Amino acid sequence: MKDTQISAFISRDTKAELERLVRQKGLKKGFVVEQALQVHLQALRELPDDVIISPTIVLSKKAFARLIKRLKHPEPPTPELRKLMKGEPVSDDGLR
Amino acid sequence: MASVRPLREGDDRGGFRSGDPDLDRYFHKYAGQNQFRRHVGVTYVLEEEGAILGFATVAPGSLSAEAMRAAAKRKLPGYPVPILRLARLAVDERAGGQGIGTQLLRYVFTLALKMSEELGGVGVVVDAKPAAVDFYRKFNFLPLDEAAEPPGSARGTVSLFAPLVILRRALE
Repeated sequence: MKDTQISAFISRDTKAELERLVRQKGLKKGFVVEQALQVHLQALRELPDDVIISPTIVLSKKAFARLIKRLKHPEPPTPELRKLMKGEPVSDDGLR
Repeated sequence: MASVRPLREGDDRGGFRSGDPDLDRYFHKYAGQNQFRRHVGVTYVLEEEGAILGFATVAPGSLSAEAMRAAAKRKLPGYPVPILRLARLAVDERAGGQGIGTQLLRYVFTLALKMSEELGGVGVVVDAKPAAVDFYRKFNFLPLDEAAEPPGSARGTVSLFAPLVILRRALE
């Protein structure tokens, strides 16, 4: 019994592949999407976090806008960063 | 004389102890697999007289905004921006307070600047343990507000970002 709905932007290619699969196999689109999600979530549960380093970080729109603004108007380097980049010894106190 | 180099398959990692069980498990068990089998990241080690005193794992990555169509409407880049991700950094507890962590951080910054010149890139993202956030803030890292915790972030970490444009200014 399906009791909720999701909507998502996906690539045209993925959508076309999904359409092809449901036509060929005679499956319902919702069934395929839910199965795919379940498999993906199960894989993530079974893999320890240590194994994967995700290449993509998704930010909220507000955070992404803040990031772009910071890239356009960066603050000055801190004194510690200046020392570090000039090859001077810098303490690593507080790293742990 | 201490030097930084990529991890080798034959390196003895079993004796490394940072005092953080998650980081130690990662280094002992998964750093080699990620580098030599999965090719998803490279670990650099700081070695002195044959002993590994610290390590840093890096991987290329990107930052993007959720619902890019809406973002594009707000005149933001409608594409992900490339970064270098500092996924793990740890120092052996026997070498604590000797600046090993900052030497590795400098190495990672140099890699990020080189990557930017050769391939593009806007900054470095570090997955920091909460206790280390103040340490990274001293080097212009500020928190990112992620839409969702990305898979692959180490457990209980905070993602912080330092723009390369600031690193370049620090060299002037």
